[in-house]
Amino acid sequence: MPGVSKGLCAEGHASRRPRALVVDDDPCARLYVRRVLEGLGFRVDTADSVRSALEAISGPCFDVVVSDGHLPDGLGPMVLDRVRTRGRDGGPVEARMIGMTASLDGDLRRAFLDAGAGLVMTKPVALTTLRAAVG
Amino acid sequence: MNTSIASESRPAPIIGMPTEVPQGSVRPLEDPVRGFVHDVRTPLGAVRGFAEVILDDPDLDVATRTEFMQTIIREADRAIELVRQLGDLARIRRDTVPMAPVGILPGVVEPVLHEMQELASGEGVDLVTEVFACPVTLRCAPEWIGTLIRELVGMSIRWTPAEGRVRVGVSIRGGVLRIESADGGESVTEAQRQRLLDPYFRERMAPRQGGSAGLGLVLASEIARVHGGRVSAQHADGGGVVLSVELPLEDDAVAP
Repeated sequence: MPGVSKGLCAEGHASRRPRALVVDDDPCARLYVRRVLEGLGFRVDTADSVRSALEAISGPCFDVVVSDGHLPDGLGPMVLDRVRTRGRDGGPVEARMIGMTASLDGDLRRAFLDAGAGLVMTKPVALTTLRAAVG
Repeated sequence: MNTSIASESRPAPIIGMPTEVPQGSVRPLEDPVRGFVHDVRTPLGAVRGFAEVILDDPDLDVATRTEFMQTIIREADRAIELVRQLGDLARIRRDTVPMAPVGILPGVVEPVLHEMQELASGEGVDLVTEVFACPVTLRCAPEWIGTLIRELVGMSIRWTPAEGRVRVGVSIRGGVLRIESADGGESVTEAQRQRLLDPYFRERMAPRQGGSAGLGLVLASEIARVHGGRVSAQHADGGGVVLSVELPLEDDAVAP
């Protein structure tokens, strides 16, 4: 799995199965991204809000975090910003972070990038695009 | 059934929960066109994505393939519904609505409530109705009144978890026809209540669908306005939200 090993947690092992967090309040969007990532060999956790995402990242460490932009209780960049902050504090390191939004809003894209996203994709996201982004 | 609550009942904050966007100011989605574009991309993404997943894996088992095909149909219907709401909103705002005295009770209201009971049943939600017994005439466009009731009650069903209950009451009080739809969903804060009727409101999770509330309540409000009435959202006793519409009646509207 090219590229995934770069995101291993500090306490991880090179041989462990990579882990991803998918954050989206839409159940179908979550299922789609989850399905694609599982097909790439990831163990996938999901969250449907900023609150549940923050709970998720307080536990295991993730190699990839994919977050929607508009969530019921806040914005996706809040999640990525927390992942990045944890990385600086000695928590999970170098998680590959991806924003995924249906919004036309350039401010949201900038907020994603400022929060540490390496890539912001516009929905609908094609299968090959999503695979290339996380692979 | 309903009550206004002056104080907020916010859930306890998570320690360390960020409260602001990291950088810049991200605009909300109240604008109907921006909100529509945002909301329609999500089901279109699911349609395209699951079709690609099916094509990509010829060895997909039958059960999974069927599930994904059903998802494609459901999400296509969701996109169609968003388009229908936007079209209806444009139509009610642009066109002259022909009004005529119509036997609204039981003629218009009860068939729509029956339809909504079937919708609720399909979602695993119990819909209980309590309808004023005497015939009532309303000067209205009946197809729009049907749409109004569908949007109100449909939103209550959407905001109610499976095995929950929606209560719909139809009453006459002070020369006004009042239809109330109380959901079995989570409580909202006072600040959220004040925004419930905004386009594409998304701060209250729909248990089975997620996403925003779309334009349904905007459309309902517009239909009520054309009929001289109004839609409102209030806190319900014991949690949840009551959506209601009040439509003024003429003097001889209620049959003895």
